[in-house]
Amino acid sequence: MRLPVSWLRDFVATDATAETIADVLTQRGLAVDAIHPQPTPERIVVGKVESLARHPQADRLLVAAVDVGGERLQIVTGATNVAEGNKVPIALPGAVVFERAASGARDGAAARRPTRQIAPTVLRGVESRGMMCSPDELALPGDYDDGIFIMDDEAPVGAPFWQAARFGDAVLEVDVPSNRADCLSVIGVAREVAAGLQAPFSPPTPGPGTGDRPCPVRVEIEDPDICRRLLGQCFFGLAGRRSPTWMVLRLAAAGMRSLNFAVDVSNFVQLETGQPLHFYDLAALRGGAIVARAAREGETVVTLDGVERRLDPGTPVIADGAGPVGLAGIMGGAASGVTATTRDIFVESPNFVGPRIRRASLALGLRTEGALRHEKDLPLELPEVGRRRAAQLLMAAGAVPSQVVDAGERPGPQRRVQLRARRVNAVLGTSYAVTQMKDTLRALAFEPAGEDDLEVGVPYWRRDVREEVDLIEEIARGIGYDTIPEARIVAQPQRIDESLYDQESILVRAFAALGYHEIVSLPLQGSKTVAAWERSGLPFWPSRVEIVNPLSEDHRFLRPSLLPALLATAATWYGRRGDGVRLFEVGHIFRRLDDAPQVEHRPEAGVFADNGVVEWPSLAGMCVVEEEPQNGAPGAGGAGDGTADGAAGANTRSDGSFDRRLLELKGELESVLHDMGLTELSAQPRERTYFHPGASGNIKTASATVAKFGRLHPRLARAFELPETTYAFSLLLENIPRHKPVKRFVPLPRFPATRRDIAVVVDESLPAGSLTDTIRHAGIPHLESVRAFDEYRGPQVGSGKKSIALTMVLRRADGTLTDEEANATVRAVVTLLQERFAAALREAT
Amino acid sequence: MDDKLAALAAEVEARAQQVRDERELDELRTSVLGRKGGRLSQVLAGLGKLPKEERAEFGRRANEAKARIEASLEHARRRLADAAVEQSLARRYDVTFDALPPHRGSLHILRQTLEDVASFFRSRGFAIVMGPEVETEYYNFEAMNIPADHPARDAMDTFYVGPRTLLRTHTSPMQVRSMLAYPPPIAILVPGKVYRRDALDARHAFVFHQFEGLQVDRGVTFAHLKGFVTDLCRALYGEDRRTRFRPSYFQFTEPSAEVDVSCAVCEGRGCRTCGGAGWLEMGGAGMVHPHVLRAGGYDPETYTGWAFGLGIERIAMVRNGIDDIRLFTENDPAFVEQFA
Ligand SMILES: [Zn+2]
Repeated sequence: MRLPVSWLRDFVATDATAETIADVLTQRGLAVDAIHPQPTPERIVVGKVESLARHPQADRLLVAAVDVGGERLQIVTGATNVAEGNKVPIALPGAVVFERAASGARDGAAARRPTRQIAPTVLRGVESRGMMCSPDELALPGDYDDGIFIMDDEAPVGAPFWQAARFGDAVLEVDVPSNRADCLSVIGVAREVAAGLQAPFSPPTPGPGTGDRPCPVRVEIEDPDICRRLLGQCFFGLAGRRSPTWMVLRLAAAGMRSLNFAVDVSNFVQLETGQPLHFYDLAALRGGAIVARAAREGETVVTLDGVERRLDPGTPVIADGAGPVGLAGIMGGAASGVTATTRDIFVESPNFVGPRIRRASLALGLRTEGALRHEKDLPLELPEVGRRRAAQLLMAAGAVPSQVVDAGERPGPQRRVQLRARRVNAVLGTSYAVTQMKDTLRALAFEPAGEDDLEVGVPYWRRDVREEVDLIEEIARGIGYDTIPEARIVAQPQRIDESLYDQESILVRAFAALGYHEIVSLPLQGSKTVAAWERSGLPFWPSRVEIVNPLSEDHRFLRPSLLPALLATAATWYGRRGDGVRLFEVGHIFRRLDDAPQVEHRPEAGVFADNGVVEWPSLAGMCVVEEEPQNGAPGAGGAGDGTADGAAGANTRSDGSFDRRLLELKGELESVLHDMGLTELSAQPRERTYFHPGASGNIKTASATVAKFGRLHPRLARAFELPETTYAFSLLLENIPRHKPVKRFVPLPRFPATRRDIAVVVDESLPAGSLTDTIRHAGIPHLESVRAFDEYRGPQVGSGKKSIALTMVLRRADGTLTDEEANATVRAVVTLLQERFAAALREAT
Repeated sequence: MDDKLAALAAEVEARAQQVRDERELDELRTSVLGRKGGRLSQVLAGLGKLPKEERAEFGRRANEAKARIEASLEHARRRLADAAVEQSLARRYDVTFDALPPHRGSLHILRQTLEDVASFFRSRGFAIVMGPEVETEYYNFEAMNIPADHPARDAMDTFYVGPRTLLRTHTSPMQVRSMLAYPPPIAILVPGKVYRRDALDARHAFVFHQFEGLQVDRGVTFAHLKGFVTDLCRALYGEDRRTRFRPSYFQFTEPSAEVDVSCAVCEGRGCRTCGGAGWLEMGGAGMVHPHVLRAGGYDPETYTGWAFGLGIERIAMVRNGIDDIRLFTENDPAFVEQFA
């Protein structure tokens, strides 16, 4: 809310500077976000235009005779909006005024615009001794009609402008908390300022403001769920009034443009008291009554902004005898609006049911000042406060009031809230005295009674104060948070499951140690993400959790996977840095529950499936590795004989199944999983749309899949301009232990091991894992471990066949293994493979 | 025979002194001591022809000669090794070449920041828990004392994914979820992503990271909140930092406070970073509202507590001098590597 400090000073007797006032407000919870200083150049006085004549030499200039109080000045002007008899601000010679702003640059910038000094001058042969000022030239805040600033007719001629306008202090931007409806008013803020400065506070006290004539308009409440109270009154004989200058400037500074006197009064009262008013052209109201009710099927209204609105049934409206004349509490209708020529008006000062106004305002997208106030459930006392103030202002301008009509509820008894003084100190950790608490409350018009167990009367405008803790806050705020001491308390030991965080911590460290960089991407994705993905011709995840009210096309669903963002990021990195890109991300991913009905709700594992959405944490990563030449250096692909044929870097070999990069990635994943206590792992091929169909698999424990990994589908790689040697993985965190197990010591071997390598020829289609699994589970004596580490295909083994190289570690626990024993073990292995897979021994070392 | 032995030994001794490298030494060793065709074995081949009585004596001499040969070879080996060391020592390497970067990975600056926060909370006995990002209106709003149609919901413009299902606007839903899961007392830290339907610019993101501290016990006061947050700000920003508590309004705490920390750039005098205020807004805090305690099944007459929520991006922006919140999720390699 924009608050001119001069307006505050109407009610608070203080010399405090705007900065001090801003400070006080901030310290009391009404944060001042900005202070816009208002420059007040000197030698600007109120002048009355006595006569206006055409300039003898220039068609577009006028020569004015201006009374500036005891002196008549001849002033040449180009203004077109000035008439004889107008009172205008005159910059006397010596005054320093501002340059006109480029259109649109206002307010805060005004004070920083360049200035110029006024001096007597001769314009086309006519002497000019001063200047009529436009709002720009005085750096007045807000928006005005073009031309010279025309003051009201009561402005005293010759008086300094700023004094006559009762304006000239800074404008504060106050951030009013949403519970403080009372501070959406100048009076409410002034009350806080007065309490904070301990300065006298004198809000306006208008009289009843009623007349004898009966009000020609009746008020009715048809739907008490929309309107609690409806107060009305007519004022007669209003046309042609000009708003007082001080009102125009206060409104402008608060961000409201002066329109005509009646509208200005309604806006002014709303800003000052917080009570929204609506003024109708009495002549436009039909049927002698207005009623607050819900809109009926098919009703429409043209609102003040000129838009014809088809009303949903139930929308709160004010209707006259012929139909809706406005959206209740939100915006009036165009047909009954008040203009500068309106003679007689009907003033509506209502109290609406907040949530109803709020819903309608949100649905219509009309967040007006009135709606923002009404939706906070204003007090029932306020309509009368607002009406009286409006009556005072209108009557001061000569309008004649009618009687008041009033329908609906009346204010209830004052709310009283119990307050235990010891509870105040127990919650705050303070040792405030009871008298201090009571004084603090009284400064804000609370009425505390009692000595220790207090009963506190709550002023009607503080509807936010309902229970003890609200009063405790008032006391803390009033005395000042800086008076609350700092204290330390040790948290009691607890047994809370922290394993989700622990698991994440361990794993991110593990991947960072493996050379991966962690990234953080936006979980909201959209058409761009899908389009980038589908450039590959491969389908994006069909199951997406859509946002009902997305900000944009590009952020309209929750990510179904971490992969798309990783890919896009990897593409950038690869473009900038070349290969060697290693990235990972940890975050939640989302699917619709009906697409994943098998997912169990397991909050302890981080899997949430109780909101129609499946959400679970994932860790995914990718690496772009060096692309190897088609005819790479011998031996580069591995240690075994398989690479001796020269087609190294098996991943580019057209006929091989040995992809060293893929297996390095698998090794990384296995090492991380081992650390988490998963030692019995197996890998199986498993196709996924985004992976190369022949280079992707799952890593599993006996009971669950714990990782997916593979080489990126070449189409996808190409779509992101990544090389084919791009690999990706994800961990299924929900199936992985969330703590590192404590490792048990195994006695060190006392006798040396023997290594034996063999190569066996088997069917091309046989996975190497089948060989090693079979060997591992056969219980062959002295065989400690076996690994398949390479393969070879080619003329030496024949078509449809391949040679797999195995390396074995052999050991006896109780003595050194003899050559004989080692040979026997190798024979046992070979025999086993012959029997099971018709394998032929090709080589043994 | 003796003469042959002595001559061979002398010759080896002389040649060993001439040997220039390991290869020549190996050749010499093989030519003399090789099992097949070595000169020593050739000489010893004559052993069989000797009369029996001379054999013992010759054997003794042969061993002496062999020892002598081995000693001279060993001597040469040492000489060569020493020379190699000397040669190595004579080399000079240029340490002023540019360093070759290690192949290290890294943790994101937001995680590094969170970990600093987490270690502070853990040192104070807090447990770290995490919850869902898709929340119900109940936990996000109602349990937090924000009823339907309440204007306070405006402050947290909300993304919805279904009827009464939304993307959490704060980490606070975990307050009530945790209280329902664990009996009092409780002290937790909740980190995580939160969503606000806010346009993306240098200072606002519609997804950002927040953490929530919550401590509920008998006798916990606002003074404890002040102490804790002051210590946290010192731990994060340095011992010289001052904190300021301003009254504020959150539905789920009362009294509520906005916490400011004195600007480290200008030491409170006012600068561009702090917008001239001398203070930087850190986050919201307050005493847990009785309504929230009740929603968590705790008796607000017996237990009091504080809660404190803070944006992790915000901390990193202040601590690391990052001036645009969008940088955190753009993952530009140059940005990531700066904080690696
Ligand atoms: Zn600063």
